[in-house]
Formats: sequence, structure tokens, C-alpha cells
Amino acid sequence: MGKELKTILFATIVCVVCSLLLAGSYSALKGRQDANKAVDFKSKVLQVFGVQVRDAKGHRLMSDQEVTDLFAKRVVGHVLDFDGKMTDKRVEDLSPEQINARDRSRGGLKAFYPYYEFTTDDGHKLYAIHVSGMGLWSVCKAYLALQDDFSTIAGVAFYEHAETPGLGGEIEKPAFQDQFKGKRLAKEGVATYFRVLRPSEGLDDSAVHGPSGATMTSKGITAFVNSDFSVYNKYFTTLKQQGG
Amino acid sequence: MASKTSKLLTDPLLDNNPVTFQILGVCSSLAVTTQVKTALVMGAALTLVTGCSNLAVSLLRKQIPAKIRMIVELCVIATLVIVADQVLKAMLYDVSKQLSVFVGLIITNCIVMGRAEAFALQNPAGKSFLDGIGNGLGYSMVLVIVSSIRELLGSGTLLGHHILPASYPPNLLMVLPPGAFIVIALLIWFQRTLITKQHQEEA
Repeated sequence: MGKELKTILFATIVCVVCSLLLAGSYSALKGRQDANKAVDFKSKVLQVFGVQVRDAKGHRLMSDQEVTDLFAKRVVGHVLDFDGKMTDKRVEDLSPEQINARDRSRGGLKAFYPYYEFTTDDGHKLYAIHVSGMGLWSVCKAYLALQDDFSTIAGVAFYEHAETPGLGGEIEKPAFQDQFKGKRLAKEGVATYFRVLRPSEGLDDSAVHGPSGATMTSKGITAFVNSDFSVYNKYFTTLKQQGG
Repeated sequence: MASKTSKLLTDPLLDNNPVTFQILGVCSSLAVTTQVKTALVMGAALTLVTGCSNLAVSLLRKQIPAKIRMIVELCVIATLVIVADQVLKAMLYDVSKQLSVFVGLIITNCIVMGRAEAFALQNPAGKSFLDGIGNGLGYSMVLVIVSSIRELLGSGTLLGHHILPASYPPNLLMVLPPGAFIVIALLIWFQRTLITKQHQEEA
């Protein structure tokens, strides 16, 4: 047997054995990994509704089972189309593409707009809408929880972004996110222009301060929060008319 | 002979520590040492990977064609690291999120490749395995020391438990990367001073 042949044979065997190992471990562990991801996502949604899933240091206060149970009991997902009309789709079935990608043919809107409805201990409803769009480097994704006036912000959670750590990346910190609480996205059903401003600028009740040195990230958030909310607001307005 | 075998395990802890003496694997020692918990998991993952890769490379050492030696080593190491990463994602999801890319980056950790090249290729399987474990432990030890200092001074906690009174203000210098540079540099200084002294006295 030639030396070259032996080398090729050896390399092939190593590759096959390694691939088998990888494929085996992947399929054996996939179930648990997916379950972990699902619980992680649910705990983020619950957290935006004010449920203490983690303490300030990030330690989990609830078990996986408790998170899953509470989510099943209190949270209902709905999906709107880009015209603000209710669809019968399920949030779980939507791909990240469908809820994040904007298309010119739809006037820069996304295909679907999911939101979660949460019932508090005393029977109030909270609504978490999905907002996302370009920051400086990356698509920033967040859930924004609203009180049942469909305007006052109850909390926000940026669950995915890849902005510069220390500058735009500060949007994941409580110092930035805590400012959103109590701010308003609409007045009497009409969307106000929500803004993320420079730290030197004055605030009103629909503006927050962006992290310093993160002007582009702040402008991005301003743009996508308003664009996304305008779609949800169409639906919320009809909901309120039916309710009142 | 017995003392020589045990030296394989103990030598990399102090005299020939991969981080403080050979200055290998410094990148990840800086990155994952803000908390003791992540440092422990990272250390365990690296120890297992180094041990198993040394074992596998040593078993294959007579068959590996010289030309593709390093590619085969890398293939073995990469496979082990990906399996370790998958296991962490399934069993310790929170920790694996904190470690993020650094588990995957064990592939490029010089300690793993270095031990495979420098030791496992020339030595029998049992010895190579011990050498891998020993070096992994040496790395873990440095990680645990650095992370204990950083977590204690940075957040006043150890393994998440409050040690210092709540009035202790968090020390950002220790939490941020410069803290790791300072602590590791001090460790290296202590180690060099102590050990060179010892060796001089022996001579």
C-alpha cells in the first residue's frame, strides 16, 4: 500500500469517526438543549411582565418547571399581520425571519407582529409587543410590556443584540432598561413619537436617555420602536373601541 | 517510577504551570474569571478535553502519518471540544451562556495542542492521559485563584454567596478585564520569585 494511500485512508477514518461522535452527541442532547432554550425564552418574557424569575445578580429564583407552568397558565400569544389585523397563527410557529425582517414591498414593515398577553395576580392584563430593528451593527430585539391602557410601558427586555460592549451594548443593562418604565407610547390612542435621546438632552414622558457614545444605536431603537408600535397600535385601537 | 508518574500530575500545578510558567491559555483565563463558578466549569471542561485528547493522540501516535499529524490532532481536539460544549448546553445552560464562545475557543487553547504535540506524541497512553489531566488542573487552579480574588474583591461574593458585608461597594476594576491582567501578573510574579528562589537554593 502506497504511503499516500495510507495517509488518505487514515484521514478518512479519523473524519468518519469524529463525525459520528459529533452527530451522536448532537442528536442525543438536542432535546434537552431545546428545552433549555425554551425555558430561557419564557423566563425572559415573564421577566418583562415583572415576574421575578431572576434576581438582580442574574440568579434564577424559579425552577424550569415553575417557569413553564406559570407561562402556560398566565401567558397567551397572539400574532398580528402587518396591517394590524389578528391572525390565527401561533407565535411558536413564526420564524425569526418573519418577525424581524423588513420588506420594501410591505412599506418597510415585517411580515408578522407577535405579542403576548399576561394576566397579573389581580386580574389585570399586560401586553408584551415584539420590537426589533437595526442598531449600529446588529438587529436589536426586544419585548416591550405595556399596561392595559396600551400606552404606558411596564418593562422592556432586549433579549438579543450585538452592539459594541460598553457603548451600544449598554442597552442590555438595567440602567438603560429601567428608564422605560412608566413612559408612554400613545396619548388617547394616537401614537406619540417615542425617542431615545442623547444623555445631554431633556426628557419628557415618552423619551429616555440612550447610553453615552451610542447615538446610532439610540437612533435605531427610536426608529424601530415607533414603526413597530404603530402596527400594534392599529389593533389596540380597535380592541379598545370594542371594549369601550 | 511511582514518583515520576505522580510528578506528571503535580509538576504542571506549580513548577511548570501552563498559565503562569508557560504563559499559555492566557486569553481565556482573562475572560472567564469574573466568577468562581464559570472558572470551575471552564477548568473542568479544559481538563477533560486535554486529558482525552492526549489519550487519543497517544493511542494513535504510531499510526498517524507524519504529514497530517497536526490536522489529525486538531480534528480530535475539535471533536472533543464540540462534544463538551454540547453537553454543557444541555446540562448547565446558564453557565454555558456565560462562558459563551470560550468553550468553543478551547480548540485554539495552546495548552491542549501544546500537550498533544509535546507529550502525547512521544509517550504511552496512560502517561499522556495523566499529563493532560495535570496540565488541565494546573490551568484550573490558576483560574480558580484568579476568579476567587476577582469575585471577592469585585462583587464581595464567592460562588454567589455574600462574603463581604453588603455595604462593600463593588470594585469595577476587578470585574473588568484589567483586573484579570493585574491579578495574573501578580500571580506570575509571586510564582517566579518563589520558585526561582527554591531552585537556586537547591542548586
